[in-house]
Amino acid sequence: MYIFLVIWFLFLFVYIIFNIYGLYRICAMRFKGDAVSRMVLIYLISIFVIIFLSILFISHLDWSKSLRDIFRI
Amino acid sequence: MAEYHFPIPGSIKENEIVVFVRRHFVAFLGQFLLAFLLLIIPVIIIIIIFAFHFDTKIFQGLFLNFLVLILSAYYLVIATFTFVSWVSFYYNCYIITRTEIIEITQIGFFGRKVSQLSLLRVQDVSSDIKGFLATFFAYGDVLVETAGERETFLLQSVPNPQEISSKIMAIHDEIIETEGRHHQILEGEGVLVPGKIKTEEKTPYQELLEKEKIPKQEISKEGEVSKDNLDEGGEVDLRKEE
Repeated sequence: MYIFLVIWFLFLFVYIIFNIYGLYRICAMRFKGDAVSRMVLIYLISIFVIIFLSILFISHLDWSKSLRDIFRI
Repeated sequence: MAEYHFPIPGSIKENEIVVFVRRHFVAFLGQFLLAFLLLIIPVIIIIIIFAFHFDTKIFQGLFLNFLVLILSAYYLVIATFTFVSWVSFYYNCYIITRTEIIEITQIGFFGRKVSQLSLLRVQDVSSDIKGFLATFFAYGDVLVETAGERETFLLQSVPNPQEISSKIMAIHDEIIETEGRHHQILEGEGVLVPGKIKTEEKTPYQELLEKEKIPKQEISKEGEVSKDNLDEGGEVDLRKEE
């Protein structure tokens, strides 16, 4: 099951890189007095909350078993 | 980084802007509701499973590990999708200056289209409000018809479209009057026949005549054929008699 965890962390890494560059482009295109700064803050808070809760749940789960056990209920 | 090479709010040329308008927030409502629905669908499914006492053993064991990873990725993607949709909506704006109309269309994070139209090319402007929401919130489309390769220029879902269309026509008329091109435009559109309208403008030669009072030269009648003889034809003898 560790393989899925590794894939998830890779996805998270790519996701963070994508967002860093995207936010950089958005901030470069800003106008004076627009609402972009507030929305960027809300967006960053929401994705950090999602990542934090995910890591919290992941840390409380058992990842040591094999793939065959996933089909045993 | 210089992103904009025309007047925008906050730049040095800000005072050249006559109208700066973004799309009305109701235009974003559909995407917002879709994102909200996508966010609450997993929660609704889980509530239904527990409320109707379905087999909850699937939430035990390693399936739960899988579910946590998938839900985490799902919510991150939905959050990014919502933000990108908002950016595409918010960065779509229209700037009307004293000389041109500028349309900025944002497509996601990494796509942007900027169109500029000179107000001299504007031929006709119309505004359109359709539907209950558009009428209630007073937003609609402004269609600018132009003389050029791109025949129409559409300002979509803008607030108070009638005011914007009348403002565009007012600026257009002001430019035409300033440049003194009113007659040229009416002739070009076929409203006036070229050459039939008397103008008070004199040619440079007429002005010179009046200024320096150059005597008019008498035109020699030698070789002239009278109107009465035109039907008879014949040769005109231009030899001078000695």
